[in-house]
Amino acid sequence: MLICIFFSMLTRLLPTNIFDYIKNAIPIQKVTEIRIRLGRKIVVKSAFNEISVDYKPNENDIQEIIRTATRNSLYAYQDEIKKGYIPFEGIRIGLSGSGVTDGEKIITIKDFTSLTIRVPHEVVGCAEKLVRILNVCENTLIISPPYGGKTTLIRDIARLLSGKYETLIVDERGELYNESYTFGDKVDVFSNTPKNMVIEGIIRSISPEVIVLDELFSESDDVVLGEIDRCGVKIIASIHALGVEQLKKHNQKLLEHFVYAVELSNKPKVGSIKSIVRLK
Amino acid sequence: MIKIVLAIVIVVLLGYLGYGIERYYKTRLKILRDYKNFIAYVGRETEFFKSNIEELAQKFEYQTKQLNEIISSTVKGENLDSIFLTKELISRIVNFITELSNSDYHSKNAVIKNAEELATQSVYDAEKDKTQKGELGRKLIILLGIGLIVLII
Repeated sequence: MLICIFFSMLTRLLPTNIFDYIKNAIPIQKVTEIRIRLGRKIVVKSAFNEISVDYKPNENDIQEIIRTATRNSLYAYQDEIKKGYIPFEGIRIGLSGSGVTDGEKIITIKDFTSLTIRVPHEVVGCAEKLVRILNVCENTLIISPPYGGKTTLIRDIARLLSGKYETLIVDERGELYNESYTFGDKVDVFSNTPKNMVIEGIIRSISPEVIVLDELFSESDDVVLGEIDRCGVKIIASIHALGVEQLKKHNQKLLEHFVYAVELSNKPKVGSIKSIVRLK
Repeated sequence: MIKIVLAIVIVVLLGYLGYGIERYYKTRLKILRDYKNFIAYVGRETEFFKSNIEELAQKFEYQTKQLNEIISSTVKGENLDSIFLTKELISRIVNFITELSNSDYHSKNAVIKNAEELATQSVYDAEKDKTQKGELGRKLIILLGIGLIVLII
């Protein structure tokens, strides 16, 4: 069952005219992604299709969304903006615009030209197909290209595991955990902080049996995985890639931390399990 | 007898007026000092806790209900007048909130610094007004009352 618990947040986030255009184009509870680009038609995606909405947002529309998302406090979201997104009540808003750099570093993004609003969905039971590998609770990596359903799957895995094991969710971007999602009683969450900054402290203080991480990316994440593995804590993580073979070419070291890899595809629909690979 | 009653009435009225004027300037000074403390609080909270403007407006421990009302209504996008502050002083507070909401992490420091300087100047002016207009006004009005009594009696 596909349940969208975030559409009320969309009503608060989007200007009324944009919300009405979207609502008229597609049932709002089916929306999974909204792409708003300056001067171009809005594109709305659901799990099965995408629709162009006959409205071209202007600068004021984009500024209004940014103001609402930052609660009129742009300064408070500097770190997130530097990384290209703004979190808003469990929704992630991806940003494009003009980068401001200082030497090698991005200081901020200004003159926003497009926003990608990812609307998370809770699909309770979507991880049931993995119950055989979850029962033994081995290190498992969920692999898919963007918009493949990784976060939804990993959230449901966390739901299943948190009924049995002390499960810690490291929710770097505020997407995995929300009080309205269903989890077991043994769940802890550490949110809005880069993985490499928190892992040592939380393993020592919270003593989890399983750690759930979303979107591995940089080389520092490889070090983090090594540390968790060495401590004897199980890892459930996700990563952007086409599949195991591509990861072997580009990041073999990272794969060495995992026993299982689950490859996802967005065909026939987002979150379809393409294959389960035993790596060790 | 009527003269004595009239004298008492004049003393009471002018005394009340004198103290009212002094209290007006005292309250203005109190609001502006409170505003200066608010700016310092914003500086600390935005630097270390990245609190948003709504949280700042709600969590600050106001010493005056007038500043609480002005800041809370500004954050909500409403306009509010105050008899204790001039339009210029209110617009400084409103501008501070508006500029802060539009500034990024780096430019907010300049906004806070500018607001601090203006608030310091406003507090200085308000202190001067309290002494020169408030306290002196009270004394002069009381003296005027005494003068009137002497004339009446």
